[in-house]
Amino acid sequence: MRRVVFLVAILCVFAPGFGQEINFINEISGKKVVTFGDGVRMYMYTLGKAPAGFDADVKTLKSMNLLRGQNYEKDAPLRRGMLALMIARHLKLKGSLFYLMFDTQRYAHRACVADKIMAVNTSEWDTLTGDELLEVMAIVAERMEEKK
Amino acid sequence: MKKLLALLIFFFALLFISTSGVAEIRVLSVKGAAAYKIGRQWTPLKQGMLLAVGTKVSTSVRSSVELKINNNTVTVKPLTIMKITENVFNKTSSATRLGLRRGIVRVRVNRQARVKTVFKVSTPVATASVRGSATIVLFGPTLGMRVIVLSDIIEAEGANSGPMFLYGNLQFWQKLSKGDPESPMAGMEDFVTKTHALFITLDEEKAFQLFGDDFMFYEPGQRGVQGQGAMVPVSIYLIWPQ
Repeated sequence: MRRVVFLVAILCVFAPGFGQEINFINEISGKKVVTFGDGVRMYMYTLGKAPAGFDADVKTLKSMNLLRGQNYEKDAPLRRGMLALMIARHLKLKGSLFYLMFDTQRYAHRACVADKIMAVNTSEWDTLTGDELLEVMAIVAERMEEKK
Repeated sequence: MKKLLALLIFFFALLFISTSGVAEIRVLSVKGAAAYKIGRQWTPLKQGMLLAVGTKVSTSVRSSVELKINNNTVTVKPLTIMKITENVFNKTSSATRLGLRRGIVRVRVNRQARVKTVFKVSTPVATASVRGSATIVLFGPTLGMRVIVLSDIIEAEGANSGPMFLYGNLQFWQKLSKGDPESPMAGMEDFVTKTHALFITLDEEKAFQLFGDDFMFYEPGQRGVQGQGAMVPVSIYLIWPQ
């Protein structure tokens, strides 16, 4: 009986999480410009962690060394360079010598292009649509699986 | 005599059952979180469900869905959104069309001798036609559409190009920034072209070691007028094995 109650409790905790994840993905899929907050939340899902609000998520990503700045704006448009920097730090990309020397959005984007995570005709200044963010995160998730 | 008649009836009944089919889209398995939409509402997808034509299927991170469409199998990979736009199945023909908005689908089509099978995966830039074979179709808003052949022959056709037949390691790749698809050998470039170490100068070797591909010109861009390729002198050294 205890086991059943325990299982039901676990299901109650995780089931809404699954629903939220797919709902969030379907919601941002139609967005013309995603925000930094969307990017952070999506990154949390890709890492297999449950988002706990913007500030807590930023703290988690900082603890993983993916974010290093002091202030981040939740509603600022997510630029390709911001995302590239998180990815390059996370996957420890080495495709660009300049990225290894200068930990900047510009060269992180170059490293992502070299690793075929982002397309060559994009720029670190580009804003991202929902589908573009999901396209990149699908590749990141795949690379994470490969590394395991 | 009666036994023979009964056997004949049984045989023909069996033949009829095996050749006639009903158009059916069934969810074989769901891994992780996936949803379907018909109308406005996204609803969680569950194993064993029957889906109607016009249904959209969406998957989350580390999630996948396996669908059985008539006799064919479609695996919807993570972070994919696709729509089943057409599915007709009868005694003599089977026609299925999927619209891939984003992500990856793996398709395995089982060809039947008596059934004319047409199975197409369309994206905003191109269409892949799978007939009695297996393929992976990828589409993203910046990387474009890519078709990878797993078995037999696949036909792919871009919006501005004629049909292209792919087999083996050949790939179809239609980038969004270009009108025409890439060479079908684009996916094989790692195997086909290899610079022999003898023809790289020491300076070049040092530069590659130091700078990697930072100084490589990633995007060839538009060379001359569309359709008129510029002539480029190329030296090719062939070393024949002894």
